[in-house]
Amino acid sequence: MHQSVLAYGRSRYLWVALAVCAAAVAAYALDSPGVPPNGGTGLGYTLGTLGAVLILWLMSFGIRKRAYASRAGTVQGWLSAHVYLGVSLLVVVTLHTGFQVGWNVHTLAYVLLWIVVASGVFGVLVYLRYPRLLSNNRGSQTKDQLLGDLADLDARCLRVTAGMPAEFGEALLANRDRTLLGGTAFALLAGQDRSQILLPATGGATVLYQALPNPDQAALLDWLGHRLAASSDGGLSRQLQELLSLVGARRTLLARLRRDAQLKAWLEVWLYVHVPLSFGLLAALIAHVVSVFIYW
Amino acid sequence: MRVLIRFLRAGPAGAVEQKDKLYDGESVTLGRATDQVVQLKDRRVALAHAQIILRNGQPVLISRVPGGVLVNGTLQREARLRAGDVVTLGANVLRILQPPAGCELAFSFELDPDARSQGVALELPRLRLAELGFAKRRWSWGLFLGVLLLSLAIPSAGVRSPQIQERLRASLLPDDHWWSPGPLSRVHEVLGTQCEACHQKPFQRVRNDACLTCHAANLHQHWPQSGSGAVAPAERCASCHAEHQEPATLVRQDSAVCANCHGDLKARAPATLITARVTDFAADHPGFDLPVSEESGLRFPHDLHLAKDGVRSPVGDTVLGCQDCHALEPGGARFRPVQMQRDCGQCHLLDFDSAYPERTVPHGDATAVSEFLLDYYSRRYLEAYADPRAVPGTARRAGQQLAAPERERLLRTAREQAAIVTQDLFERRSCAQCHEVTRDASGAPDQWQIRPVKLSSAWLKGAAFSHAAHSTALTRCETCHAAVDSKAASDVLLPDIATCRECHAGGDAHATPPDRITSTCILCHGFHGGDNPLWQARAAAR
Repeated sequence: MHQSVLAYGRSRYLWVALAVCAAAVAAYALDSPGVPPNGGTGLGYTLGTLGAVLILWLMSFGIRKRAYASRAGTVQGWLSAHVYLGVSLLVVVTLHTGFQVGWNVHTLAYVLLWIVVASGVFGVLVYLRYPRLLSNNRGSQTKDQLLGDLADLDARCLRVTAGMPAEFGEALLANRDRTLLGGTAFALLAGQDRSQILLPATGGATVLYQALPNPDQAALLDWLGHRLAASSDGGLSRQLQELLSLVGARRTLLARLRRDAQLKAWLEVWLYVHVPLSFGLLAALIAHVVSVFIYW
Repeated sequence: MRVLIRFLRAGPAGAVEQKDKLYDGESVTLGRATDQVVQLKDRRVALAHAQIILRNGQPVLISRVPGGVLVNGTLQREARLRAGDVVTLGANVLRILQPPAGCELAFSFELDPDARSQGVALELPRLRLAELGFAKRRWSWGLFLGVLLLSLAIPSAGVRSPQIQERLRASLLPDDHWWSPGPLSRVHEVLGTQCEACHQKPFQRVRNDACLTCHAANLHQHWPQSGSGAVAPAERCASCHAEHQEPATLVRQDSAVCANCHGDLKARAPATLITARVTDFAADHPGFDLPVSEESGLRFPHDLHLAKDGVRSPVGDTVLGCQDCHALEPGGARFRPVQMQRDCGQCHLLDFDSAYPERTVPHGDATAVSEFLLDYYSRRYLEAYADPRAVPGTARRAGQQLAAPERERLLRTAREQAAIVTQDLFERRSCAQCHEVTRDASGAPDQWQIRPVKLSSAWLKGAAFSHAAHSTALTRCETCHAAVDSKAASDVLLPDIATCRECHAGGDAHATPPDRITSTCILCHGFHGGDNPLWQARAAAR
């Protein structure tokens, strides 16, 4: 039975995290250090140490999840604690700063922490929502199966055009070659279709080719539609109708492939922020602690 | 521009198939990407490899890869194309042809027969971020090392060597200022970015010596009377004076530092003269050390002067307020001492002769008063004097010479008159109203003595108190000073500690009721020695 990492162990780590936050807030509220609250008071050092230990433990999740032989708790339990304690870190560290920020290495570490935690929260949200969307979209097919279907459709299109005037073969070939799937991070994440097609302009004595944007096969479907409307040849019309239905299927399949890539990209993209920035944070944390004691 | 593109394809049995296409567009782009006009399925070709545009009616090839494009066998960034030119793009060869009528450019396009088998394989679409060159591990290392270098390695190089430090501070590279957790307080701004002025040795807390480099050595005598003249050995300047804080407060405000010792001072400093245990203003603070009565040498009933119906004055009954006699010193800390002429003289006139009410005796010197009156009456009697009590017709004309016996008689009369008025002034009228006057039997001009006046200008000298700071919408003079009911000048009209506690709570901010003020030791007391000029300045400023 699938269980969300948030609900793991009856959300026991939620209560642990809440207890950590409540203890930190209560200590902060009751503390009167005589100077503006900052990381250098007794409570400041305590919260700072707690925050640093939490950061190191949270980062060790990367080791734990690869240690398949480890018996130190389940990975799901670790992830649940990782999520909740990671968010509680914001409270602990914000109180450690005493709400003092500036242009310095200390605030750099603090800002990096916020970005890392925010990207992690984003990751939790997409992981809660996207896997279901992903499997709904795929309908029990793998990506390679979908790509195989696409290749089939292209082959069938070209077979149909074999018995038609050359311009249709060229158009369908250009459509196959200039169909763009993915390619850039933005195209993946936005589900953007930047496909193009080279089509002869309709009408006129000379046949002029133009490169046209062809999102969702629209330019090709439009061109085939016009050809069908202008066609008086029964055989050609039937072939055109067949082509139209094949290109329509291709359009649906491409949209599914793009949606698949898009969902998967969103499932992954936050990690490209979360992981590298957490290492940046680790470096900033080291610099923060060492520099504070160099200039004690 | 209109372009003729001639596709050449090797047909069966070695024959070359030719297919012409007319293309219309802004430019002809050549590359591997799907949005190129001529799509070259060759991995050696860049996504966008080259572009042909029309410049002044002439076709020009522009390379979109840094190395340039092979035109007639030589790499060129930009080349004007003429018929017969050969452009090689990977396995593909473009031959520029003579354009037919209506076209600006014509070229044939053929796949190099030797390279036909390689590079034309269809690329699989890249549908994962990892396939796009995104690499978490590389970025992680890069960020880790980059941040460590910029935030720690480079700035700490400056800590090790003053020469490097100087260069770093002059450069755009990060220096140790990048470590500063907050701005310096205004008094220390002069130190600028010279971190080492205070942080003299790495990994060592700021020492008192660093502070004493600028501050006088005797600044921090906390126990002037004990003779030791030393700060308690464990105390660091920085334990009370924390820098780099926002909001900038250079002085620690809580009571813990004081209460640590003053909770049991005998144990910490056996020679101390301070016996009181003090840890908190509200809970644990001795009463004020005030005298039972004030010996000012004056008679002054506050109640009479502040009577609701007013007090008798030269211009009739006048209702007086505190401020009619008392005025704040500049700065507002204390009231200036009351002065007779300025503050009392409006009502307490020192006249003595109803014929000349504008004439007054001097104030402040008893002997001078006696001598003044003798001088005054002698002159009056020797000159024309409109004494209302004098016998009519005795007035003389100006310039009239007096005979010696007559002069003697007049001077005797004057002396008698002066004696009467002097005694009247000292013992009944003006002086005695306010002063305690005694008289000896000598009969000399200094026979009257005024008891010296000692006005206390500052009470509670161990604490800083500002009247200006206490002047609020809720406070009036009588809130603290029971002057309205005071009948004698000996009354000490200072409030006791209970009055202060009506507004001032203890030092624990969390225990302070909403209508009270958190009051730590430092609110009223200074830490450093009482004879310290800095401390006195602070007391005056409050």
